[in-house]
Amino acid sequence: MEAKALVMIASIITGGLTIALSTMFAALGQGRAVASALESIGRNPEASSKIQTLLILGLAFIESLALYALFISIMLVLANPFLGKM
Amino acid sequence: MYAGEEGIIQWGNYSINLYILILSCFVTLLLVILAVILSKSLQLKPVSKLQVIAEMLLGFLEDIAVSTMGERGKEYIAWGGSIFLFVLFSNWLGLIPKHLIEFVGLPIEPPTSNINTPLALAILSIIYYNYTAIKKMGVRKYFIHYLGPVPLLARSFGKLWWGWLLLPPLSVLFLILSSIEHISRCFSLTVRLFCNMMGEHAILGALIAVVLQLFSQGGVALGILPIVIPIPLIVMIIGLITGFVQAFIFMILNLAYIGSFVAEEH
Repeated sequence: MEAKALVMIASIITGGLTIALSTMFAALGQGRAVASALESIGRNPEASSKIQTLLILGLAFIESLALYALFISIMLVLANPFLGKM
Repeated sequence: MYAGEEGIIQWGNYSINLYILILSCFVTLLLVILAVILSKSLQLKPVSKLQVIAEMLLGFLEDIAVSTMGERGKEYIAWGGSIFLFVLFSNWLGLIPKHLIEFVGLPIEPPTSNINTPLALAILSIIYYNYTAIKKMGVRKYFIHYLGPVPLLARSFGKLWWGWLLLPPLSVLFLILSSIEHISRCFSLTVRLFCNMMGEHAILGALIAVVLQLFSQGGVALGILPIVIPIPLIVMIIGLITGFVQAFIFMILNLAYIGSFVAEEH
């Protein structure tokens, strides 16, 4: 019982921290990407359609890193693999 | 994880989610019916509005394919476009709130918010682009592609005696790395679509549950209803955009993966 409670506490805290940290840095990365894309559109408005496609693709790649963390934290909170072994 | 717990059929060691099967069959049926209606009476100079809409959609898909792969991309619209439409329609199915439709007896969730559907789509994509690569490049070139830069290195190191000691372990290493690449592509395609749709659907469900709760309480709570009701609507609009962007990305990544093999031909 004691060990189970400890594992639960640890996994809840870790799940929260995982999603918080990953969202923080993914948001920073996305912000930089959008900022530089907007800057380059401002310099060269004719290339905006090409830049838009690449921007969305890049944002998706950055976002997927945050989503891996979401996957891990959901797994820790809702379907914890370590609790089953107790 | 988030699938309706009642619709699960046990079949030996495997469990099949009936609701997701029914809903994805529904989406497929809808697309087939749409395709039949749109292509029923085609004319060279379109007079019907339906044909104009269909041609606009095709033009949109063609633009994307050409901008990611070059002129060659037009060959792969059939694959990319059908994946795009399937993912798009199944994402937008999630905009129908679950709580309002429960009286039908079938909780409506986007099929893509269950991990099985994105996984199936991702595995199909991996199989399809490997098949295309083998068909376009031939078996020999395909396996040389697996070795990465090793053939280039062999050209420069091949003259030295210790080059032949270096090359076999390097080629084994690159073989393993490129095999891992396919698996990680499959994983990232799956998790990206699944987590986006699941998270959005969970947030929408929670917000609508809050609004329904306030409705049932009445009294004081009714005063803040005008503030609370627009919130799920905003999330729905965001969901409309997210569903489109996710389908778009799924298609673009498919085309880019095919392009990474096909473009190296010349």
